[in-house]
Amino acid sequence: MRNYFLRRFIYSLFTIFLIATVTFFMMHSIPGGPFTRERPVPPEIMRALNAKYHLDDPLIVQYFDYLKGLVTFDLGPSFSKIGVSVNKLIITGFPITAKVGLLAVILIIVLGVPFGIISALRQNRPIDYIVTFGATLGVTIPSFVMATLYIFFIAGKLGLVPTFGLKTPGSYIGPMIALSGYSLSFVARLTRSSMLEVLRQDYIRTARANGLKELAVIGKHAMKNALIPVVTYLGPTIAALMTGSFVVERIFAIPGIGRYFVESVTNRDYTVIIGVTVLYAAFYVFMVYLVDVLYAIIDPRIKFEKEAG
Amino acid sequence: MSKPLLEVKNVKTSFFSHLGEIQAVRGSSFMLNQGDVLGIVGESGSGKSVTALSVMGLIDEPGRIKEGEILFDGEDLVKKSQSELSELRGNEISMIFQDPMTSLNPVYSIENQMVEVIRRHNKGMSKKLAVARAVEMLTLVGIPEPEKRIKSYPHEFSGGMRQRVMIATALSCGPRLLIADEPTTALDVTIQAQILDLMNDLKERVNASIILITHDLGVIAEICDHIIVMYGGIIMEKGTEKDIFYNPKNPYTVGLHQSIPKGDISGDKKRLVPIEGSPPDLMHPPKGCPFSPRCPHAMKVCLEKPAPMIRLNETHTSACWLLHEGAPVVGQYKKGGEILE
Amino acid sequence: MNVNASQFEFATKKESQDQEILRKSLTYWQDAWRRLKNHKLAMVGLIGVILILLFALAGPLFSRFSYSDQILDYSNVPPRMDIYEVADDYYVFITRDYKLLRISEKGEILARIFDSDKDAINKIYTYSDVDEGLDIALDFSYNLLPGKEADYDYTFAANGGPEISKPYKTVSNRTYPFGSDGVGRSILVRVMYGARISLTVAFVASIVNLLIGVVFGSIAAYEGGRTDIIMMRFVDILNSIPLIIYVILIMVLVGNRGLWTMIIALGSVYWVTMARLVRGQVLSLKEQEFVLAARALGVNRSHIISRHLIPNAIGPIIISMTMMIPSAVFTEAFISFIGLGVSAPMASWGTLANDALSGLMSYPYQLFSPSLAIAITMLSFNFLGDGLRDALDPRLRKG
Ligand SMILES: Nc1ncnc2c1ncn2[C@@H]1O[C@H](COP(=O)(O)OP(=O)(O)O)[C@@H](O)[C@H]1O
Ligand code: SF4
Ligand SMILES: [Mg+2]
Repeated sequence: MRNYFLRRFIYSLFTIFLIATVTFFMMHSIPGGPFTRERPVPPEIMRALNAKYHLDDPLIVQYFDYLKGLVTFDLGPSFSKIGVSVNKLIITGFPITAKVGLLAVILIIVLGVPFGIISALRQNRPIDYIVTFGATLGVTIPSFVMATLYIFFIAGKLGLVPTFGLKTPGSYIGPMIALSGYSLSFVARLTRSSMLEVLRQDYIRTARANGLKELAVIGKHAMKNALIPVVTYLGPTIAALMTGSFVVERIFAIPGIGRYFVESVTNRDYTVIIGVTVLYAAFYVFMVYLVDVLYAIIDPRIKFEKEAG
Repeated sequence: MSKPLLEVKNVKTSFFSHLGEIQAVRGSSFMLNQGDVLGIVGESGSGKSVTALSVMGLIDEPGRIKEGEILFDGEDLVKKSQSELSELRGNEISMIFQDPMTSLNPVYSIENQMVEVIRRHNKGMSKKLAVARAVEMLTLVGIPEPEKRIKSYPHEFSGGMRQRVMIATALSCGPRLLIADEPTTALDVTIQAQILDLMNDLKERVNASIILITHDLGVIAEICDHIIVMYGGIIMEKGTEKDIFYNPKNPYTVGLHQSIPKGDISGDKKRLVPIEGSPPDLMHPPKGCPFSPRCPHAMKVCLEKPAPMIRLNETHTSACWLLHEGAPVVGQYKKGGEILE
Repeated sequence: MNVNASQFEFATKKESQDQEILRKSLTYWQDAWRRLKNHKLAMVGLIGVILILLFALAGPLFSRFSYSDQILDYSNVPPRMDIYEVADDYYVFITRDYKLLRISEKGEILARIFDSDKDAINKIYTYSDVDEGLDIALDFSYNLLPGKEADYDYTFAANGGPEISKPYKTVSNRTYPFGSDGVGRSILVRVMYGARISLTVAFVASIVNLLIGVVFGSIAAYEGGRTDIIMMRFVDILNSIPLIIYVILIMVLVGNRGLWTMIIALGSVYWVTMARLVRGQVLSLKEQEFVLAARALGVNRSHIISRHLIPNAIGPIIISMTMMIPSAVFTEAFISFIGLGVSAPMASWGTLANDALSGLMSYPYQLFSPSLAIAITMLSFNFLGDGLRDALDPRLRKG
């Protein structure tokens, strides 16, 4: 068991290393350097800039410098925001993003899972139809549409909350809804179908045949099995939400990391692109790892199979 | 004679799917005395499981017991609520299922699952006592090193072992009736024999009546006192083991006999003669005898009217027109007997 | 029990079997189609998909505008207009950016009437139609200037006549049924062409995904052993990466923002699920063939393949494809929305939504149409996918 966790952990580190490498070489294979602009920069300035940022070193040297930076958590300077380091951008942006993301995650778990379960237990009753309908809408309406509708009606027409920024507690509602809408609906659907699937299983019939109370049949025997796929989905989703959505941060003008990423992409600010990508990926990989661990705890079969294989 | 433990009277169970009503059981009546072993045989789809699940009160949506009575110890189970039934299930009446691989919850240990059942029906029993009881049951069903193995999860057991665990759990609260629905069908031939031996052995040692369901007549020889032959949701023939094996009076039973390999296991497979055709569509069951589309002796009347139940002797009844006074004489189907209806 | 003696005659084989209701043995596809037809939502989805395809393919043929035709004078006109009758049979509509348009009673835009005087202080603009000899004064000071509270926001007056504060009626825009955008292009036509872009990207990217997935998955399954382990480890790694970022990086890397860039970006990244699925199917096929060879004597081989093997493999793949298309539409819209999508003058639904964002408060309808198009597409494919899952799932066939 401990072995399994350790091995998964090493895989995760290896994955992050791969991502960092691929991202680095991808960015460095783009024709033109980071200072290539529409308006040509005088050659001597270009040379000075390249020297300053060590862009004139051989690629392999740059690569090892970059890896060294990664290990020491130094992601280098931003190319477009002069005088600002990538670390600084992340430190200012990430907490804001993570806060909104965490709220969305909480919303997903406290609403999505119970709705899914109720819907499954009341299959083909009105409540099931309502939940299914709502959840279907939720997965078919893109977050930017949800966000803009929210801004247009709630913030604009009704003027209940500010249209952008995060100045008041109320202004978190919009980003939370827009951010969680899809996943909330998805979790509700997933929980429902997983629960229905589990309720058809033979061991549920066994539990009933052994005279267990319905509460124990559902709450103990069905629940734990039904939540396995939900946990699997939630891991990466939490990572994605906590690292923010480019779209939602753009619409609500939230100064989070997602916005910096989009800006850096349009500005070709390579250090920021690489830095944020690696941060995202590391966080994501870490969450996937956490799911694996949790999975092994919930489902005793996992250790066995993976250990053997 | 004391009153029977279980008396099933004209039970009809249907599933109301969106395509129509599936009449899975169409009027089934039988009884079971204390300490007896009753076999139910029939091809798959004849309504055996549905009959058993009706007794357990475990018919799922969209199914429903339409009519009939199921008297257990004189009380009608059909009238009981699910929570009343749950007090009986696992306690007075237990059931084990066909597929031991999927019938145990994969995410809980054997101990967890057994102790839960034992404490459910023995209010206030300490966990320690319950574990001791569980270990005792595992020993009874022949699990080696039960104190250690009880900590395992289902996937750590083989199919045969899991079925033993299922039996141990089912018997752990000392039920008066055990229903075993095809307990050996999903197992390898050698394991099948072991589980049957175990059942045979337990029959003597525990004080439960048993209903043993199978699609394979070969399985129930020598274990059962009485046998019911089901087809198309109705009971075709009912009798003692001797009646059914040596003196079958229904073409369907005879068909079943011909379709099992005779002699030892290594016996010549070529003698196996499956019954031609397939079981009826229970959404549109035949008007008359359900076997009439496949029966080698079907008469015009068989297509029109359900065959009457005819009593041949004290223990033996059969639903077949061939036994009727007016029918032509065919082979072993000697006519006569009291027509019940 | 009275039974007529003649009834005890033996029934012929034909008589016996005739009573079996003709349970036609349906082929897999007939059966699947029958189930799909009974699935109401799936049929809604199927019809939706067909309509969307018609809309994208045939729609532009019936329109007099192309996706790039601009009439700057007719910019920002909504789909529904409050028109005012300022003179006999002379109707006007004022846009939110104070362009006065002459409208026919039916809702066609006839001409723009240019302003001849703008009194920004008193909030009165004057527009002149020289041909008709009309001077139309628009007074929009109501509710803006102190002491002018009213239940209308503006009035018209023609040639110094009485002020008209009540719209004549509300008409639908005949010229631009979904309204026009900021440079006077028909949103309906833009959405139709957007459908072509979005759907082309989604379909082609899904097919690319399918091909990569099938090749990768079946090689892994057939080779087995070490090859399989290494290939699947690679898939595991891909699966633990936030793929959307890679789509974005590929868009950056390739540089030119054409249709193909988008297709490559989406197609090269999202094949992991398909590869896993195909591998699983191929593995089970391998096993089944072995079992079949041992067991199924006398059963027609092509029957086994067509009844058992193909359905088992094709079903999940079709379902997965149906689900892949809407998610590709979604991802494409998402990327276009943050400004990294297909570049102008082409426009996908995501681009259209992005373009509409800045004017949201004044011209919400510009966002409405592309959003609705995305939502309808998503719904239709999702319904169809759910229905197909029910119809093609071999486990459910008996029921
Ligand atoms: N949950 C259910 N829903 C619909 N039909 C069912 C259900 N369970 C059983 N049936 C139908 O009832 C009939 C009898 O089934 P069953 O009792 O399981 O047969 P068997 O004799 O093999 O145990 C079959 O035709 C089956 O299709
Ligand atoms: S009633 Fe008729 S069809 Fe049915 S078993 Fe007897 S002879 Fe055959
Ligand atoms: Mg059965």
